[in-house]
Amino acid sequence: MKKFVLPIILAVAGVILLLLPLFQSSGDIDVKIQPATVIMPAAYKVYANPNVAGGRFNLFKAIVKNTGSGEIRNFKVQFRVPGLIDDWADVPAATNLLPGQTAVVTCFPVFPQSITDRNTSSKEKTEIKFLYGGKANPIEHDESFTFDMTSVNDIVFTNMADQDKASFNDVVENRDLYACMVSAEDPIIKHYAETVQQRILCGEQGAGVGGSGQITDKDIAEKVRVMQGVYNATLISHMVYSETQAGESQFGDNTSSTEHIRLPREVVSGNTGLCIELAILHASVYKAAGLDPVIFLIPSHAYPGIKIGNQYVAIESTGIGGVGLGGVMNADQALQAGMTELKTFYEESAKGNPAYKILDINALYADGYQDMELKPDPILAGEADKITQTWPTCLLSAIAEAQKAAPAARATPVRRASYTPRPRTSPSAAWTSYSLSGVSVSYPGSWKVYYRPVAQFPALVMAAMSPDRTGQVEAFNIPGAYNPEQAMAYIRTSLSRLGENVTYTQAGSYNGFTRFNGITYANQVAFKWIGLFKNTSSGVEGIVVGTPGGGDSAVLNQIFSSIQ
Amino acid sequence: MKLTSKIVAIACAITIAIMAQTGKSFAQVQAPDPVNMAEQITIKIDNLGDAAWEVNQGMNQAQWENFKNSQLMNDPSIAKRNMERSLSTFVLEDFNRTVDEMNRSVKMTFKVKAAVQYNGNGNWTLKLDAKNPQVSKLADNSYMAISNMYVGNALMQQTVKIYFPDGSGNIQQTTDSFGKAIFTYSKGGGLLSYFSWNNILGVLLIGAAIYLAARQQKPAPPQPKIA
Repeated sequence: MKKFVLPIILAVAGVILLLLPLFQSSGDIDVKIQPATVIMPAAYKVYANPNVAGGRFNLFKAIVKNTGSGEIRNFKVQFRVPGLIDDWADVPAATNLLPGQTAVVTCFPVFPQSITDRNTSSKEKTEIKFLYGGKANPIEHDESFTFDMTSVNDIVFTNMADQDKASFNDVVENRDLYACMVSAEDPIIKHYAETVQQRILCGEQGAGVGGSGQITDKDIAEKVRVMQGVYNATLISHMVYSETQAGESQFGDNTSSTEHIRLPREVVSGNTGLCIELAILHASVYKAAGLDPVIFLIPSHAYPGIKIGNQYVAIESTGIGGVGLGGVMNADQALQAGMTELKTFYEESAKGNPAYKILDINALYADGYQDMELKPDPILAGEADKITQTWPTCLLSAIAEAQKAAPAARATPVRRASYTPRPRTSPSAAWTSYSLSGVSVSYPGSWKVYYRPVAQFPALVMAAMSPDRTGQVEAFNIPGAYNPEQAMAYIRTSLSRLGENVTYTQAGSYNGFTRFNGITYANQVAFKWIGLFKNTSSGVEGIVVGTPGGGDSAVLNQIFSSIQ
Repeated sequence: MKLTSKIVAIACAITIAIMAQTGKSFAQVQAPDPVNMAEQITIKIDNLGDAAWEVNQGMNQAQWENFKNSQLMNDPSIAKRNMERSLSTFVLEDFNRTVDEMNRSVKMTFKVKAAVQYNGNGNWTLKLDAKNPQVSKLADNSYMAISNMYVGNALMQQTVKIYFPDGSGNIQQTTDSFGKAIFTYSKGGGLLSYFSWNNILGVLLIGAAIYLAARQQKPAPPQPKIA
């Protein structure tokens, strides 16, 4: 037996060597994680798409090197984000790694749609598992990191580390993400767009191109009419321009500007928006109407436009005005302002000025910058409906009808209940002036003044009433009207929805104004009036002076004479 | 990962550099005014799936004048940073740029880690993101793909030569369900993968044991009888 000792030893050693891989680790890995420091819910579809911006919008990149001597088999990477992605999800990766080989594993998470419900920022955690080895000897390597999650309204302008920033583009590299907020598919915006088409454009569809496929002047005019219709919708809603939150935040080694952007549904329901918010709203409605929307970004400002072939049309959406902004533009003026800005845009972009950038929404969608899916919101929808219900049933028809009916207007005098004749009082010696942007009037200082007295009728900017209620002066501003006739048509339509019946006739011109004589009937009271209206930088403005009966004609005449 | 995303990004890096100062980079404003360009890219894949890239581009005089004012010419570190960001799913190393002013050309070289995916058993996969490129075989382990693309306003013809590792075989070009080109090849794996030091030594030891045991078992030859 002794003679077999050596062969047995050799055989055992040989078997051990052959089975060595079963007992040793199948390889060691060295892992380096490059995590995202911030995730923006508005861009949740972008994070799922590896083709966007070269894969820059990822949750993490892991560089895994096999530092062992054996081949790594059954390699697998899984991750989860508790509270958002609760189940372990696979990250596509190579299944095997040779000794010395490196694999780059990039995670493009598919966040659930519910991420758009995030209204506040938070800290979230990502957990990662690196699995490899055989069933008999599985190996798990764990990593984790935390990141900031913003609210759905926030755009973080750059993800670049501070030490790498060198130019303007570096600090605004995420500007394309604005496209994610253009929400033409949002049910609230879809309904808003339909209402614009019905009530402002009167059912006309301006998005189509002629049957020949060629773009004609008529096609362009129709598209522009849609743009102006959207502008008019914001204008007659008395939507105002207003600031929103912005500032700087620290995300890891990146200090970035952030901006809180109200979504188009919030702009519509809140009836207010910043320039970029108004531009995004316009772009959303344009897209819903079948146009090819763009947003022009310039230093400290943004405005919307459309693309027609190789041409662009722009409109200044902030022309609706607001406190501190000065005048209000009508749709023609807003279009003119937009085209003027576009000329500057061309000049600056031709110089290579990086601050002038165009966001071609459809092109960005095609590149993966897709809009988020938003769920129906009854509260916001209700608020938006309240505003759209103040619009005329059909603005164009109302204008045409008013122009047709005006010469034949007749009135049956009845008294307006709210104007009960009282004993006449002498006017106060002191007079007060009230001015719109291009029209002013003076009235007795003793009269009581009401600013925007009818919430549902914001075009009535001011009303002043004599103490005995026998005299009244009213100031109107109709920003969306092109001329005094349209303005009167709008007033007539708006008041009819409030239960008041207005009849009037045009009575020539007076001192640069178009004069109207009319009677308003409400609650069996007839309010006789004379109105002077004219175009101003804020649309059409006008003053109405009248009485339900018993008014002091000397005072009323003096008021009338003071209108300038 | 997808190779062509790299190709496009590389093309962009140079082409945009050339066009940055032309005033025509804003293609959307005016009708395109194509600037025809040609770019040659050589990709050499090593045994571990990493790839060495060499990008060559010659220019005409007008393009060269613009290129001289570009970031890639004057601030290559920024150009490198931009390229790394536009190729976020890869790891780039050993970035270098050589400008040949006499011949109005620029050459970039760098290494891409994990350019090719290993699927085990010696099987490797290289994906091209380009749809239906014209692919032709140059030699047993090299192929050429030609494609045209717009980069900004420029119509660019890109010629990509791919050299697979020495010893690779069974190189096949197919397309995925989206019509995008995929190269698969074999390198290592199979029986050869079992020729590791422990296997070879183990087999030798067992062989030696068998040999010795056989010798021990062999009956001793009959001794001659001595009278």
